[in-house]
Parts: sequence; C-alpha cells; structure tokens
Amino acid sequence: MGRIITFHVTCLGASHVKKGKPCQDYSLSWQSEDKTTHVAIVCDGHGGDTYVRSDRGARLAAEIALRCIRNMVDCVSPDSFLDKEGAVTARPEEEDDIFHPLKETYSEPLPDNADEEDCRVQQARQDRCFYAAVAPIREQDQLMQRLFAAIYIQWLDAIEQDAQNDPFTDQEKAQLGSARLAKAYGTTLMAFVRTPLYWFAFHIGDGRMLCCDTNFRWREPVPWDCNCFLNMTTSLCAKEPLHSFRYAFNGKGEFPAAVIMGSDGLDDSWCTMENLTNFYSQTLSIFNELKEEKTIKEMKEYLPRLSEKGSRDDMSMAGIIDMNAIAAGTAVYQKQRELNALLGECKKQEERIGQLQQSQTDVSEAEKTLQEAKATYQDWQQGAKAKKAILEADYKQLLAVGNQYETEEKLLWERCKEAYLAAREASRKQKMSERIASMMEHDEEAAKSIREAKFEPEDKSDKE
Amino acid sequence: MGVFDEKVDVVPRRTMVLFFIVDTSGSMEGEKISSLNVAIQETLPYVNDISASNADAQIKISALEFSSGTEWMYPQPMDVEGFVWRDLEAGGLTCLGEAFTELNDKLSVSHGFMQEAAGSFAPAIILFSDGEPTDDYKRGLEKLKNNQWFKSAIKVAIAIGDDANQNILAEFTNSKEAVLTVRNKEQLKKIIKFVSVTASQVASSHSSVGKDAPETKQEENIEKIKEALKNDKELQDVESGTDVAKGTNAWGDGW
Repeated sequence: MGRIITFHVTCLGASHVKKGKPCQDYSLSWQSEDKTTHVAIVCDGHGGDTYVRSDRGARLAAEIALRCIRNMVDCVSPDSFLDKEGAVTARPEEEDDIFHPLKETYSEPLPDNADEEDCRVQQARQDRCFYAAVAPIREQDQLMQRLFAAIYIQWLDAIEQDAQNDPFTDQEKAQLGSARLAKAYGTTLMAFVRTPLYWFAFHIGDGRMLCCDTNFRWREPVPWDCNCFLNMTTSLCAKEPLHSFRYAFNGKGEFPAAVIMGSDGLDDSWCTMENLTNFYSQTLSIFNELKEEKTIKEMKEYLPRLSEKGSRDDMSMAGIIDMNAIAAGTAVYQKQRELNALLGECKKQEERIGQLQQSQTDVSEAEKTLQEAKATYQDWQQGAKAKKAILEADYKQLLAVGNQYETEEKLLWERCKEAYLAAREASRKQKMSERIASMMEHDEEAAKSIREAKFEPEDKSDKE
Repeated sequence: MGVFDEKVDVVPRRTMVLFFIVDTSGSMEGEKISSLNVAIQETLPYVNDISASNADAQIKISALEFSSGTEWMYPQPMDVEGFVWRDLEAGGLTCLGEAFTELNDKLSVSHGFMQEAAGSFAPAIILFSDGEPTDDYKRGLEKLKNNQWFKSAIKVAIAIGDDANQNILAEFTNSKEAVLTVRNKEQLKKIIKFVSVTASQVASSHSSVGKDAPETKQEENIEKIKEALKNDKELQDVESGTDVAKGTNAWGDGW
C-alpha cells in the first residue's frame, strides 16, 4: 500500500452566486489517526424552491454518514468482507422489508428487442441485476442495510432537531408548502471507505463516483440507478429512501488507485463519461505533479470558473488517492494523451488526404465527363453538320418558293393595277366626253360666243 | 489562470432539442399551415438568442410533420443557428399515432436524436393539430409515455381551432393546462413565439429535483403559461385546458 491521501473541495455554483442562494453541496474527507482508514463523502442538496434547507440537509447527511461509517468500521469485523465482493443496485420497490428474504427471483429473461428507453424495461432489467447481485452476499447486504438505516434515521432526527432549534421562517414555510419536512432538507449522498483489508462504497441519488486502476482506466464501482435521469434523482428525502441506496464492496485486496466523487454540477459540465474521466485523469496528473496541498488550492480556484463555463451549479469533488499508484498511471496517461494527440493528428491528416483524394477523384471524374462530353459533341457535331446542310437546302428551296410566289403575286398585282388604271382612264374619258357633249348640246350660245370670239381650241381634251 | 486551466480540456455545452410536431393533414391546408410556417420562421431568431446567450446549453431544432404518414424535416436535429424552416404543405389524413411512434423511436440515444443524459437537457416538445386522429393513437402514445426522455420533457400542445381534440392533446401533454387553443392566425403566431421561447428557456436551465416531483420543468413551464395567459394582453384570447367554450373560429369558415 502506497501513500494514501484524501481530499474534498466544494464551491458555490455560478447561478447560486447570481441568485444569492447558499451552496447546497457539501463534501468531506477523513482519515483515521493511524492513517489506515480513509473516507470521502459528497452530498448534493436539491436546488428546487421546495428544498429550502437542502444546504443543511447535505451537511447533516455527510456528517452523520461519516459517524455511522466510522462506527461500522470499528464494530464490524473485517471477516465480513474478506475474500468477498459485491456490487448491488437499488432495491426493487416490491421488496418492502429490506431485512427479510427476497420475494422475487425473475427467471424469465427480458426480450432482446425490448425498448431500451422504456422506463419499465429499464426497471425490470435493474431489478434482475439486483437479485442476481445480492443473492451470494446476503450477510453483507444486511450489514449495508443496517448502515443505511442508521444514516437515514439519524438524519431524520437531525433535521427535526434543526427545525426545532431554528424554526422555519414564513418564507421558508411558504416555499415548502404542504410538503413533508424531509423535503426541505433533500439531498443526495455518496461515500467511499477504504480500510487496510477492504473497501466499500454507497450512493443514493445522482452525481458520479468513479475509480481507476493504475493505468487510469475508470469505472463506476457502485451500479447506477435508472431512476436517476436528467434532473430527476433519488434522494434521502424520498418516502422510502432505503430502497434507493446502492453499494459495492471488495475484500479481495483489489483497491482502486484512486476514487473521485463529483456532484452532478461537475458531471453535467463535462457532458459525457469520456470527458469526465478525462478530466479526472488530468486531475490525478496534477496531483502527481503538484502534490495534494497545491493541487487542492488550484482546484478551489478552478471549480468556480468551471461552474461559470459549465453547469453553473454548485460543485463538489472528494476522493481517496494512492499517490504511489498514480505516479505510474500519470506516465501512462501522459503517453496515452500524446498517443491520442498523435492519432488525432494522423486522423486529421488522413481526412485531409482523403479530401484531396476526393478532390482529385472529382477532378478526374470532371475530366472524364469533359472528354465524354467532347466525344458526344463531336458525334453530334457530325450529325448536326449534315442536318444543317439539309436544313439550309430546305431553307433555300422554301425561300425560292416563297420568292417565286412573291414575284407572281407582284406580277398579278401589276396586271391588276394596269387593268384598273386602264379602266379608270377609259371611265374618265367617257365621263369627259359625255360632259363635253352635254355642254355642246345644252349651251349653243356659249359655243357661238366662242366661235365669235374666234377662239377655237385646237385640242379640247388638253384644255380640259 | 491556474494549472487546471492550462492542463484541462475545454468544457463542452449540453444540448437541448426543441421538437416541433406538426399536423399537416388536409384540414390544415391554406392559411393555417402558411401562418404556422411564417410564425415558426419568425420565432427561430428568438430561440437562437436563448441558445447564443446560454453558456451551458446549445439548442437544436427538429421538426416532424404527420398526415397520411410522417416525415422529419431533417435527418438529425440541427443547431438553431443554422436551421432553415422548410415550408410545410398540407394534405392527407391525421396519423397522430404514427407520429407518436416515430417520436418515440427518435427519443433514444442508440438509434435516435438524443445524446448521453449527462450532456443533455430534457427536450421540449410542441405539438400542433387541428383535428381528430385518423389512426389508433393510443398504442403510439402508450409507448411514448413510458419513454424516459418523454417523461422528462416539457410538452405543450397547440389546438388550432375548435375541431382539434383537446382531450387527446391533454393525454399527450399529461396536463390539461398545457393544451392551448387558438382560433386565428394572429393568436397562432403569438402563441408559437411565446411557447417556443418559454419552453426553450425552461428546458435549458439547470435544476435538481427529488423523485417525488418528476415533472417540475413541465410544471414550471405550465406556471409560466398560466401567468402569461393571465397577464399578457397579446395572449388573453388564447384559451388553456380541454373545457374551452367554442369561440369565434376564424378557421371554421375556411379562414
């Protein structure tokens, strides 16, 4: 066993600063005087308006949990855990008596095609996991249930005492409304305990507890509860919270190199498990480089900035670290980071090459398309030429026909015109002759006068 | 700036998906669908402002139309900033049950639109309809109601005109107060903007709640709706609930 350290850091969330709300997270860490037993605890008081004293609920839960854990470690023989291990999820609701034999064993497996997002399917799967996990560790299950019951009962006493010592203000009463007293103090709770011979951990509610091996491979020691989803969480303030405690233990000497617990403000900021575990690996690397005192100081300064950029919620981190184990892990992690960076760069370059190859393919295809288009054009052009010649010949022929028609039409028109003019002239002469004859016939006097005046026109028609 | 700032990676943003589920059956033809198209287009910049000003949340949009079948506007939710609303056209039946089944399929991490829960906010889902379902809606709704994403979601239904079945819409929202009836295009435009913006604001904010209060975000959203219907003059003619009196229905006359 190397040098084991414990740490805890809690910071006020950015949104709480803005709204003037208290920090509703609470974390603590403890080690025995002989530095052989280590405990880390994180509690996250609920943020809704009803949970008016969740900051106190979180603090009381953490302090009571530590007291109960120490009592259990002192009173229970390590033999209860030696050479045994277990990881048990939340207890099915139909198991109404947690200290008596289990009711159900679920022999029928769920169909493979069951809808994974269906709450009923998830609950049924979880219940099956519970029965499978708890069957071989009934003795340890009883021990853990006693621990949870002790924590819960003492927490209920503590919050009642708090309400008596410091009665609710009118505003607090208005916010709590008709809800039970426990709701005002609603909180989650998770704890990890490491003794020289075994470790155990338990969790009710959201947030994440992760442990890693010496190569910084992370896993959740305590199984998840499907009832913790998005902003919904199980809680100490629920009507039957003992069902919602889930736990794990190991007495086979398989200790994690490090365990880190974070409230949901932290894992919400990192969005994915991969990002969160990466952050924890980076945290361990900093622990290895700067050692605990300076790292914790840096962490206290960093978490408010993370809250500002991330979830804006309160943030807590607590953990137990084997400093000797993480030295090797840090080297592995650094190499892994470098390798990942190199692989990332390789991937980028490959993608760039791929894009260029695609561009080249596109150009080749465009070239091919161009050549095909050219060939098609040439073929077409030959046909077009022949077609053009035919069209031109047809055009000329039709043009000549048209011209001929126009010429004929013109001739016809000219003939028509000549005929018209001739007819018109004949008509005019006729009319003139008739007029002269009429004048000669009806105006003898005028003719005489003309003759007497010895004026005889040589050509009447011209005078006219 | 400290060691953590230098050595730790950049924090990502969580995602909230805003779903528009739109009835495009034949009865929506004309001004109903055209008003809806315009109203959503005009609302998107406001939703974008919420997304842009929220360091923690990135809002994505997804739209499903249903009539004789269903069709997603885009194959994946898109960032609101780059989302372009394609005008929907109406025609066909009202296969609401098929829409519920389709929505249930997409409310999934492995084969749908959702991401890891830690990186997500509960979605906000706004359903628009003006008539009765023509298929068996109950089967689809039954599946949907057991979907953990749907259970956590903010749900609002807009009944367009008095012919919409408000009781079925209330089954969808799990709350009568989240069913809003509008009777003309001005009301429709105002309610689309109000509901989209409010649901986006509530859905993309952070809060932790106990298991005994499973729909707090839905309740918070309903409280905001009630307050707005009471105090906002522009929304005073919009009615909430399933026992609304028949009003002057501009759509009833062909609008």
